[in-house]
Amino acid sequence: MSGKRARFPGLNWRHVAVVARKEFTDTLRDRRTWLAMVVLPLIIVPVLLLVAPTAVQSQMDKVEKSVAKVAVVGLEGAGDFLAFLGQTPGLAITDSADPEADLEARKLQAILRLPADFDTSIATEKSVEVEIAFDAADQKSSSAHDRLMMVIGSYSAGVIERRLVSRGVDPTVLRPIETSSRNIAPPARMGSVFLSMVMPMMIALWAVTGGMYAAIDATAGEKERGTMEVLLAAPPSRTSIVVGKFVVVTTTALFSAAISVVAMILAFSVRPEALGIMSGGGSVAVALPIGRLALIAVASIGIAAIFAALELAVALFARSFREAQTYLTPVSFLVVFPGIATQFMAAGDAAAWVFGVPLLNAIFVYKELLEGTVNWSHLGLSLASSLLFAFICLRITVGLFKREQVVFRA
Amino acid sequence: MIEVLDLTKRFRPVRRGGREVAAVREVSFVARPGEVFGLLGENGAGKTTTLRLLSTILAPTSGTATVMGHDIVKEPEKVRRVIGVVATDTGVYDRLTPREILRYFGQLNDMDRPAIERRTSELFRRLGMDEYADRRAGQLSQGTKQKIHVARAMISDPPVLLLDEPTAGLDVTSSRAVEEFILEAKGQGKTIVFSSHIMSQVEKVCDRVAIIHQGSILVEGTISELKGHQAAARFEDVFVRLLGEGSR
Repeated sequence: MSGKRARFPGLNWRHVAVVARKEFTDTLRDRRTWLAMVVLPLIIVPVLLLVAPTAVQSQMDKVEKSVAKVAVVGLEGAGDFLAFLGQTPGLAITDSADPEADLEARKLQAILRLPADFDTSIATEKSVEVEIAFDAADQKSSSAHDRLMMVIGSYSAGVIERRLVSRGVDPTVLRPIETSSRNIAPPARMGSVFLSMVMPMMIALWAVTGGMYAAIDATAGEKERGTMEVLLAAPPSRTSIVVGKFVVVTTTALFSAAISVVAMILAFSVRPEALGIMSGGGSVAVALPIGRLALIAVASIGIAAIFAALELAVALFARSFREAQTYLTPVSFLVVFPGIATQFMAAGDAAAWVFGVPLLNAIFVYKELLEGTVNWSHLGLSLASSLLFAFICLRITVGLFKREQVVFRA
Repeated sequence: MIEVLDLTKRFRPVRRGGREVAAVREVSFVARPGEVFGLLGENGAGKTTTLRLLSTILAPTSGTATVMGHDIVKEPEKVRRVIGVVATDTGVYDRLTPREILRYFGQLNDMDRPAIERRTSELFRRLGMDEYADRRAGQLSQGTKQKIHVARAMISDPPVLLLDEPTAGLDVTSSRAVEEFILEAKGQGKTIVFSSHIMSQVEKVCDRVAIIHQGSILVEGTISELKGHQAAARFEDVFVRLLGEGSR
């Protein structure tokens, strides 16, 4: 008896191939499989990568380009400052009979209260208190507040400079350090950072859910149609039957993950500038050589296999297609939680043990690969641990297939 | 040849504290080659469970049976190689064609492609299914689907057929076609176990009958033996009378 047989008694690869071939034909003729496997990633990934950032950007542009109406109380004593304020783009001094009410009604974006002796106090080198009233719950009002702060700041700086000069002091004494920043990240790396935030969860999501319909169809679907009984009365062992189905579900899930990556690449070749928006502007590009794409696929095998086995087990327990769907919906959350939790982490933030934890390890390996690093030991550890888990899950699934209470659950 | 000896199946309670259900109790019978052995009983009598035990998809609690000399407990894989099964409420793979379904089960029985093709066209011809062979099974009528089941069960030309209400839900014409097919298989020397709750059909098709009630066989014999035993002209009367006695 070979080692393989001892681990999976009754395994016959010819039967596995027969079952797998039939399941492929069957599942590929199912519209639901195509929807889950291809259509959804092709829609959701571009929406997430292109439409969402563009919408955020256009909202930001709108606020930036809008002119904020500001009522100034105490105009009379501040001629010089008002002239300065009037030159600022994006701010319009507006008359208002009842500024508080207008601010409340969002007819005004801010109220600037100046003391009556503003100019005199400045001229006599006294400190002046001004108040900006705004609505922090309103984005436009907040933006008006920020602009007013900037205007006041730069007017204030001018006043300081004049005062120093009048005393014969060089204004630079107040700026002991001059800072200049230089971004050394090439455009490709800027793109990678954004991708490594968004894409790992997406790829993992499809590596996990892309095979779900195939799994349900191959188990609960087989029960519901009434084909399970005659299949089990055929010569192949239940092990061979399960492994055949498992191969199909895993492959379908991997294909789906690949489609999500293709969707990502397509999205950026159509609108490369969208990537720049989300990375905070600047020049951005995506560089994903084929080698790293292949490694993304390799890194996906483990989680696709684990979840294929789990989904088969859960769906087998269900009596009908619908029941299986209900049981399996929470599986997506299993991916979304770690996906969101790690979204803003860089690949380097992961401790070594993370690469031994299924799902988390895949997410971090994706991050590494998208950021442009290939860490073979992380990749190896991650794949080894995932395949071990997949093996255990598959054993459990095979065990369930042998239990009458599960297969003939009434 | 099928020899059943004290076959018993108890189902464990579904819920804690529930009662264990004995679906089949110490059932024994012999079905010989070239013979249709009828299992007759009302719904829930234990016919389906008995056939599921023989097809090895359920394991007996005690007792055993041999199918063509193979023990259903010790050699289930060998048993599955010699049986053809039509189960109650069996469905078809809606998205496959009858030809593909037969090919699948042929391959599961380790047949090679030419043998499968030969056997498939032979079965389709005999069942009058050529017209539907390459249509999606989901679109076919109930009668045609039932013919697919019969053809599927026969694809590997197994020496034993286990047929659980194979004409359930069929109209008279389709029903008759299936009955003829069973008699033809019998003529080829196959051992056939046939379950039904339709008296007239049992009378027409079966050589010997066991009447099963609440998991136990009440009586077994040829139809005329049973009629003589109960001094009844109609087989239905025999059945009703026996069930009355069995429940007492």
